[in-house]
Amino acid sequence: MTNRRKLSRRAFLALCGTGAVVVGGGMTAWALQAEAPFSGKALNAFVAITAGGDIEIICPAQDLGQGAPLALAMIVAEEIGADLSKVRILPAPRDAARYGNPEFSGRMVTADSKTTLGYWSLLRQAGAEARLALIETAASQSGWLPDDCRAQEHSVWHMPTNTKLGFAQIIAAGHLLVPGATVEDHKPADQFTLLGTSPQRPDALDIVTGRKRFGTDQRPVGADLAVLRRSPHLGGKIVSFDDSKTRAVGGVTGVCVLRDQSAIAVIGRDTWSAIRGAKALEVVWSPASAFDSESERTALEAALDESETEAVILRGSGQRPAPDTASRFYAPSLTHVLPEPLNASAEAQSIGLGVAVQSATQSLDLDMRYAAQTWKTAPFLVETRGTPSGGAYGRRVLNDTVREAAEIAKTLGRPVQVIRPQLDEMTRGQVRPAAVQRLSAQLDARGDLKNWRHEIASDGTLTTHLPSSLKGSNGTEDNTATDGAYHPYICADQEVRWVRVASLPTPGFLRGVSASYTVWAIEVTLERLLRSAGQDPLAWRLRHIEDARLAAVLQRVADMSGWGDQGRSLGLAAMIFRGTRVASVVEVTGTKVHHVWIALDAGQVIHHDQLVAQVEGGAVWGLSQALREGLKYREGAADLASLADYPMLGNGELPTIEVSLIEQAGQTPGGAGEVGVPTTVAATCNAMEAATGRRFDALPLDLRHLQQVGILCNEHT
Amino acid sequence: MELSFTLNGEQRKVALADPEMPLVFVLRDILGLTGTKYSCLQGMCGACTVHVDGQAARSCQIMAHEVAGASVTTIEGLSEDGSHPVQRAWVEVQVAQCGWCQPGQIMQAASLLSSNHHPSEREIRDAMGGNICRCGSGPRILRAVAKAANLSRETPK
Ligand code: FES
Ligand code: FES
Repeated sequence: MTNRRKLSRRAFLALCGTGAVVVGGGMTAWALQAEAPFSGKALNAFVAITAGGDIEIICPAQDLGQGAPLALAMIVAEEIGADLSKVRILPAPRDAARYGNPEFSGRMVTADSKTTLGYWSLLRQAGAEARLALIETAASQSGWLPDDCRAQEHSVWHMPTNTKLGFAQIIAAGHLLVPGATVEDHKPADQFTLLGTSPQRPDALDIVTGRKRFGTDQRPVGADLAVLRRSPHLGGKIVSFDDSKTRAVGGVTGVCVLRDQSAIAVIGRDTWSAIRGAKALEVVWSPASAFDSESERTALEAALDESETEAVILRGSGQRPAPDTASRFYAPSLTHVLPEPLNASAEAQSIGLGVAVQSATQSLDLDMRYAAQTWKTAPFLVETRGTPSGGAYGRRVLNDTVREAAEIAKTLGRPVQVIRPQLDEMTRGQVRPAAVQRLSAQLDARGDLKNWRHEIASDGTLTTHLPSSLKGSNGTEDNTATDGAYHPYICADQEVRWVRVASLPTPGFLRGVSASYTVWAIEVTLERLLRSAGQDPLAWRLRHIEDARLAAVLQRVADMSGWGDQGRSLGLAAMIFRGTRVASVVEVTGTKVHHVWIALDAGQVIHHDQLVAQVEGGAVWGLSQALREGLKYREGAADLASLADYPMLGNGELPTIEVSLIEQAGQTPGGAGEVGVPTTVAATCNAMEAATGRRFDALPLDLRHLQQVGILCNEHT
Repeated sequence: MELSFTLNGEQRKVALADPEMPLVFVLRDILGLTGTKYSCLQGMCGACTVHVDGQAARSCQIMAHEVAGASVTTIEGLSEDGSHPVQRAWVEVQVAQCGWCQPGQIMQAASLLSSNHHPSEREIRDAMGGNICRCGSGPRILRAVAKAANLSRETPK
């Protein structure tokens, strides 16, 4: 038990008291924040034990509905040997030095399928330290040897005598010894009893009784509500306006023009008066541009054709362009369709020097940055609070309503909550940018891949908003535009590159990011090539994948779906994404998808049922992207009059979706939130091509013509 | 106007500046019942579903004066302790992801089951087809409705 290292600097900070200004390295220079919200005695930054023996666990991730709070707490509870019913999960304060995600350069961002992945080691370490503290203390109290003890069922057991001390008894006896822990002290995976099970979420009852409170449900006391009237077309500015009708609306308490002239905020005592007031404004906007989806597509195509365009090289030398015969693939802009409206509230603090913001958010750090810039104050004078989010899907990372709330609260000199109605966000908000790809590949005489040329043109979300987050050897790679492009197949001669084409709609993060279309282009090109060469798409993939875990996943999904049966129209797709190996098979009858099988290996399974639910949800997104979704622009504006103009796959149309997990005990968990999306898009297209004999070069797949000419259900069974 | 109606079994009177305020905002902003959610405000997503005189209705499309004298049930009134068969099924099947759409989904399902104790799979799909779950919990919603139908047949009324 010697030489134990305590949980790095993070744990140390927790133990050395609170309220200090912590100057950390890297991006996060400031962390003056409230202490961790423990009521018990802190064992390190993540774990405390209350006088009654309950364990308190800090959840550093935001609650977006993906189940992160429970999953992360399960990792810690497993290490400690805690009983989940005696665990309390507390949200972390904004303190990136202690709670930042190592996968996000230590920032507090909940996104990109990196939460469990990023916090896994840290939380095991935190749990192991707590367990050893309890064991060491119990042993010293009872005259046991620590090595003879085990922590389970919320007690420390002395194995030779089969006696135990409950955590409550241990803490009751007074001073806790904290010996620290090393990686070797982490619990061996074969002793896991909690990980891989499916305990009920702590908020399950609150959700079904309507008691769970999201950002929109928590308007701060004394805050009025603001709704913005924004330009009907992209980039429009106010030329003139008349608010006399608005001021006559009952309940309207203020009107305020945003500094950049992009919007007018109407403030009301309740949501309805603000909405009505915003509608009643008479505004003349600067003229719309001629931008539309067709011209955007043409610009993306042109960027691939111009050899001069600066490209980011992902594989190869960049010297060998795709031939003119390459297949082209078009993916449209997509919008999030957030269930809960974007929302944020702001209120002056410290005699107006600082500001407190509250929001349904994916990042306290970025909220802080937005609020500090807008309020023109220092980050440590910004208080941030996250509420649960009604859906996020990447949209609440660049959470721009925080800016609006801060600006309006400052201008008005009183607290305000901003709500952005769904259609407003869909019309003018962030999009998963459209993309054009060109891909060509050839097989040699032995049936191996002879060459591979993949070119992608799109806008880049990180490039636009967070250029310091770009990766790659030259610091130019935007993973929101290149994710998925690194296919897992053996091929010596590869060229993969991305060209950034700035576009008018604001690019944003969206569940599945670029992988939804890069994997589509890759897997469809491959399957076309294999089918025309008379190769079985499964057998070929198994022969040309080096990753044994991905091969096992492919074999599993093939077994589930009955791959190889004659006369069925099946499509296959596979990928590795955020460490997770995933493969989908989709079956089509006529032009109808009626079954989806997904197998995945996401390393150690944390919460079995929530992992499956995330993958099911991803599959629904994949189907919806393959078959329905696309945001069109016309005359400088989104072509949307209502939600009905953005078709999505509904509950009533869902095929059967089966998910199977291959568990790897003890392996770092891979991503979950997005992994169901890309291979489902691709496998749907492959199945549709198998069923119809047609090639599809755009998403969503255009089936109207086929339905008209009568390729309908059952003709292909 | 003074709106007088029955809400979750209780007589309520509310003073309203605008008789055309949609019911969803009367519930949330005036009466503080935030269990009823909203997304599209256009009658197209089902997030705001409540029961009006026993029928599922989109509360964003109903003006306050239209429920004068009517009986409205919201998620808070379905059961406080989650004992309604639909709520129990939702918990057992672990349907919810973010949970935002779920009060509306649950009210929609409860309305189906109150008039149809043996819904077929097709009837379940049709009844739930207009309620969007953007998180993608749809497969579980369909399963949970079927389970709730079983539970409500087992539960003596
Ligand atoms: S909010 Fe009422 S149906 Fe969408
Ligand atoms: S659970 Fe999130 S929208 Fe349905």
